[in-house]
Amino acid sequence: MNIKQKLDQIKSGKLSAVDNIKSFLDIIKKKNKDINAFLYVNEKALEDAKKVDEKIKKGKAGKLAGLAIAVKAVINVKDMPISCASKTLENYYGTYDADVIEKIKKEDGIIIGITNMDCFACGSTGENSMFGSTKNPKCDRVPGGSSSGSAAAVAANMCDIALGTDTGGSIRNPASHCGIVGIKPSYGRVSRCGLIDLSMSLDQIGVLCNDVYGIALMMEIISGYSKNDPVTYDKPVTKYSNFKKINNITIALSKEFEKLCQDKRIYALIKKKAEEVAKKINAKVQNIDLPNIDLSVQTYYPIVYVELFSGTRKLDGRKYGKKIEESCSEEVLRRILGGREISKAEHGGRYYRKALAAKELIAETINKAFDKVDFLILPTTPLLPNKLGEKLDPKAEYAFDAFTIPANLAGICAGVVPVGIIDGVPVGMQIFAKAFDEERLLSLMESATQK
Amino acid sequence: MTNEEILKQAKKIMDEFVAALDKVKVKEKFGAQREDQVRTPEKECPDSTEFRKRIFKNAPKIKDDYFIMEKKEW
Repeated sequence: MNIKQKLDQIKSGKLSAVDNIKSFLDIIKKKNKDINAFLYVNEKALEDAKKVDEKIKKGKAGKLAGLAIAVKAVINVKDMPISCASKTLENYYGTYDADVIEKIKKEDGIIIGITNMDCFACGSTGENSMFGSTKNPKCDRVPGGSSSGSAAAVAANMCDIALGTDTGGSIRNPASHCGIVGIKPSYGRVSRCGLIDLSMSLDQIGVLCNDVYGIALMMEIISGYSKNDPVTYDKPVTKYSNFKKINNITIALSKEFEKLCQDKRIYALIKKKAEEVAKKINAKVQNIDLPNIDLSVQTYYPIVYVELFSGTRKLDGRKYGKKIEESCSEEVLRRILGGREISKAEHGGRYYRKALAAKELIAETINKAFDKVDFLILPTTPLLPNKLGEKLDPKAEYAFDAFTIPANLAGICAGVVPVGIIDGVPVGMQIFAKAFDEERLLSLMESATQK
Repeated sequence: MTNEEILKQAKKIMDEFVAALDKVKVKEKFGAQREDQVRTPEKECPDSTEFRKRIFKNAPKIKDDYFIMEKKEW
């Protein structure tokens, strides 16, 4: 049953919110020991569901009435443990609801629990959590990260919809590896108030689900201007879930991405699917040059190192008990120590400034492409995910982000839809759209998933 | 790995990355991009009783109405 059908059943009384939540709690009880998608399950979820059922009877329920929503452990939910999968914040309980959580609660979505992730959102495998790795419910490879628990929870049917965050691909990478749908909204589309930041100039909260309708509906609710987050834009939020028919469009593929894709089977599959989608909607397909796009990884990491170092100075042990440097994963430590080093006065800001300038260059490349075409289609990762426990050196792990990072650097929106299986591993097709073009992006994602 | 080894590895990665960026001509421009949206503090503080309770629940050590900080570390 997809999200639209389930909402119809809940609103017509055929399925109660209590029964929906109960069924998820049963699945979590059975599967979570093995998958380790949830770090915390909301003990009051059933109580919340009862209240929603009463509202449904009175005809006063919101748009998410009775749906089970999982939340990545980096987004504040009042009175729930928001640990960032770290020992540093192991005992931290959210002191307030993030803007997105307030909006979900207002629409009667039920927070079913807090999901596992790579410690402080640093990693793309799901193996960097201080509370154990998350398993991929679909295959014997890593689930991807850093929103590993959110993706695994959706893929294992432990919730209806999950929230994740995406700084360089942390929603799209696990969505691809777990065979589900995911979206990274444009920078400034969704309020980050209440998000514990990894890299303030790149982070965005986004959505994971088994179908595009669920994502579109959630995006309608969480998008929009917030006075609490000055980077949000006051632009209209349309009804994303009323998918539009998109005509006369041009879809682009790029030789640069083809060259960067190390597993040629992945690129061949994406190209074939792009052509199929184009045929279905009468779109044109063309190749486009994207100069300097191969510098995305080298541009992204100096920015993230410096901003993570800066953003985590508050975690000095005085307020929450543990110093981050003494209680985090090796990858977080690498970024903090590296960020501290390259921020030193003796370097005169060379690394960060150079990276910021290159970020502008890559944004310009992508924005120029959108003057000629409507969408860019590309793989989500250049390789299939590694097996659990198979150690990669940091540079090899960073290279996994090569296709997702450009969207963050340019501030555009990007989505992933499942398109096939290679060696038993799900593969997702990534779609880039220009900034604040979520309405058309979601419509294309819906077309791509319809048979 | 020791902290020193991790730092050395991180610095090496950063040096390689920035060396790659050195090869392209990039114009550096800085400053606020959206000056119209600078956040200003609110004049009035909302009632903080509940918020204080939650913040105190997170503090490692408290006494009466204060956090206890470790003197040596300062």
